[in-house]
Amino acid sequence: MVENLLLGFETATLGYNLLYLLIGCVLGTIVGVIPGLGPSTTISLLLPATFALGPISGLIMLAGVYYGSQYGGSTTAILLNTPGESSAVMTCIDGHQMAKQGRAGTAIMTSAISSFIAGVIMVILMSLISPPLADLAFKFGPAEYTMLMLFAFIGVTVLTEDDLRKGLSTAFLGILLGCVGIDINSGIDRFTFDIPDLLDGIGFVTVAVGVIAFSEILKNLDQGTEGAISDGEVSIVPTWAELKRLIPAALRGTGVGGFLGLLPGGGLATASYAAYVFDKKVSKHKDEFGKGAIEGVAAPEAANNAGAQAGFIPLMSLGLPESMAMALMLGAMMVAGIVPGPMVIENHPDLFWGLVVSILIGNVILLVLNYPLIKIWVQLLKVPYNVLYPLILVCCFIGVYGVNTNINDLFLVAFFAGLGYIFYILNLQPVTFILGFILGPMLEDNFRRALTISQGDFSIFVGSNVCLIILTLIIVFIGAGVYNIFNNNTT
Amino acid sequence: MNKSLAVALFLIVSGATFSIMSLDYRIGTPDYMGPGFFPFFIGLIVCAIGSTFLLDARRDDTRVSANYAVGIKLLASICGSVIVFKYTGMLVAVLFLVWTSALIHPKFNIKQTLYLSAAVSVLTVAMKYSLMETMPLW
Amino acid sequence: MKFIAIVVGLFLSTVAQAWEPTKPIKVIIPSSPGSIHDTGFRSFQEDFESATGAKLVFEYRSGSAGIIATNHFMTLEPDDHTLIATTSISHVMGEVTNPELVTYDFLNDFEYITGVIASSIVIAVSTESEINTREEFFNWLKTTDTPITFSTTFPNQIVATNLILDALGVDEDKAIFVKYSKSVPAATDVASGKVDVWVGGVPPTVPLYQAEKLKYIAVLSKEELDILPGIPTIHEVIPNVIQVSTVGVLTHKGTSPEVLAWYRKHINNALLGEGAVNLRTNRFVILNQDALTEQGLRDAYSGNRKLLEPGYREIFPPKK
Repeated sequence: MVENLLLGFETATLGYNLLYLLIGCVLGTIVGVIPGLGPSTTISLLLPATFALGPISGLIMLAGVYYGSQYGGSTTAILLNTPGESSAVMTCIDGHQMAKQGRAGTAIMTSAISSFIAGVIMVILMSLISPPLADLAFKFGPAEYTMLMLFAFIGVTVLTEDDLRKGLSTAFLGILLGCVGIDINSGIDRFTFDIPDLLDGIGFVTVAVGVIAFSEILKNLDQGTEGAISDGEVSIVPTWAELKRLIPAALRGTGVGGFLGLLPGGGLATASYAAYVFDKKVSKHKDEFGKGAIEGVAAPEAANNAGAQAGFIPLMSLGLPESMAMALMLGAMMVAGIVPGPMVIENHPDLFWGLVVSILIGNVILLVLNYPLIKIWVQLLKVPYNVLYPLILVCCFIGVYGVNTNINDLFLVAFFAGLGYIFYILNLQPVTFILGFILGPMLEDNFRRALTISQGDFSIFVGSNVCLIILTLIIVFIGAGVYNIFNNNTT
Repeated sequence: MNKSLAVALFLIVSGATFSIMSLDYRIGTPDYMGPGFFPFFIGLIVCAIGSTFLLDARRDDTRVSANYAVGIKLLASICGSVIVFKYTGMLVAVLFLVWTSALIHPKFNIKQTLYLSAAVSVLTVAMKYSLMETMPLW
Repeated sequence: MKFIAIVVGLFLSTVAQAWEPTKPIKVIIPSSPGSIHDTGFRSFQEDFESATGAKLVFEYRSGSAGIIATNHFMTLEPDDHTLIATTSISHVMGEVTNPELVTYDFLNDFEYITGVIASSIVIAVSTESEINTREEFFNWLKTTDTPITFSTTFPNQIVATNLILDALGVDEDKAIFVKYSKSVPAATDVASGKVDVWVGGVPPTVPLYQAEKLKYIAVLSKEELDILPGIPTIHEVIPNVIQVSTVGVLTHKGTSPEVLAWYRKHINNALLGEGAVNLRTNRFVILNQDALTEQGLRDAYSGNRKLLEPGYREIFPPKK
């Protein structure tokens, strides 16, 4: 194992590879911060560069972009309650609260440190047990994925909402919204009212910006927020007491995310949610979740990073890409004549280990890079709100337009801003709505497939060990949720 | 109107709308699902959950309230900016957005808003010439 | 006179080769990464890009046997820089399977450039399955009581399977077709045993085969393939099922001949490059030598259409 890592370090520091990694990280962070530009777009644009640079250097740069963007997405989630990436949605919850309490710097550093911890652990794990980990992916078929997604809904709903019913209903509304567009199984477009732009479905950015960001602004205006988001001293480095809470949460998040990231059928999407849910359940500070608990940032962030790295395992060993960004990287490898498979690690050890170590170094770079940047970001929070919110509106406006340079996205975002306002008035949470929207299509796909395989027999959902384990967890959480409803109604 | 009733109505209407729209597509059976199956039943579930709030509504005394004026003004500002963008370009739309939204706030300050307009114009132009070449400015 | 002819000839030839791409070339892939279309284009991408300086940008739109992607392609402005990847066994049948969704006439609404790879449909099962040979497979189909699940991404796989079942005298209702829009999860579910049989293209199965999770039972080409030695064809036993797909490059109708010639020349050159040969060998696919010209590709497509149409018509009767 040590030789592997040494080989990795040698490769990662060869020639200009470190420079490419740095460029990738910077680009990725910028991209992640602006809602609308995702790592996929940037990676597609940079893909041709991989030929010029050669497969190893090119992939190293692409990996930097990917991680940088995860990181940038968390920054906007913390500062402005606007998730730049879908992986940052859970970070909004406690992260933004921390920002309001003057702990924005701490929150961003928490995100960086947790991601770094996750990165280190995953590198070690990957060097030791890559092949057996890949086998885990085979235990998950359509029925198991369906149960997993259901668990994500129920878990998040129970733990972020006082009323299970409200959370579930918004989650289901999100799922319904996710149905808009072409149904890939039948080719028929659903709920599109013959508007061609809706054929592809509604973009994540449009919904997230409308329902979360714009409604956050509406809420603040409604409440008459006047001063800056946080006037006082802004702390940056976490205190020792905070670190003592952060590190275990990051470790737990790594475990959850690392496991889920292995599942190519949608594990990564559920990683941050599941980590948040899990952490809230086991934490001693569960009351603080939702009000600025440091674990509420550490766990999902670690889970994202761990999940993304774990995604390399099925990618490299089986050629199974988890996300668009991974798929593009797969493409880059194939172009270089590298066929993913169990042979890839044997035949191209410098590529695999070089990439693995670069990810580690990339995490360090991001940590270091962002320290001075945090001071700048945090100044944003000192701006009085009456100036800040028009700025946020403009950035989101341009960002949403920029996704497809299509004006119809702007009409849609106005609609979602209205929907977000309704949620606010009715005290419904946008987070579960977004969760439903993101996971809905995958849930439907797997649900359908599972029932086709079983010929309509619902017992397939309790058929395997994995299903039963997840089902038990679901029942536990529903029980907790129901208990909460009755408790709340009697107080 | 009390909150529970409002929530109930919202959920029932949204759920029912989707379920009714789903009937236009083939529903099918569990082993051979049509495109309408999933949204139809999910819509029904939403309606069902919404109905439970009707029970709550009988003894709920929290009123639905919000500063509607503010909400409507902000939404109008956003919608207005989109329409302005449709007939002109991003620079004009963004300036419209800045001014109409800033005016909503009681602490509206002309000088600060002017600085903001300048900053925002620079941002927009920078976006145009770096990443969004096809975006019309005016 | 001769002199004038030479001058005119030289002039015309320079004009004919004057076209060069001026922006990245968009390629619409009607499936997902790792699929046969993707493999086909990746095989020549590097040599093509380094020889021409042009960049290929891939856009994936999977679903409905390529109809979604092709409908989308039809809405794009013909700009000489947009191509679409298609296969000769599923794309050609869109008008038969889903006539209400299709907005094009496949054989007539496109310019045919060249074919990039050819792949046989293959039958594969999980390595944990007890089936090892073609005969065991047929026996199993005939004697089992429980329904058998087949993983499918394109309708031609359903047609092929039904033809096999017909030939064996097995009730078609015994087969359950589990639809996927992405070929890699489809193959994975077979490898993990959640779905029984893979009847589909070779490329998505290759990593799983190398990881010893899948084994090949038979191929649906006329003869045994050199690249898959030892795997028998079923053609000897079931002669009417031949499914070899040629992945071809198409573009908008009305594109000028110089542009088409440019693409054809450079893609064909790139297909002979070392990178392309390596990838084809690694992914168990070949080149259909006859499909490297416009007419050759057209013939491959219309030939396959004639071959497959009867089987399709049985399964997808015209909707009233």
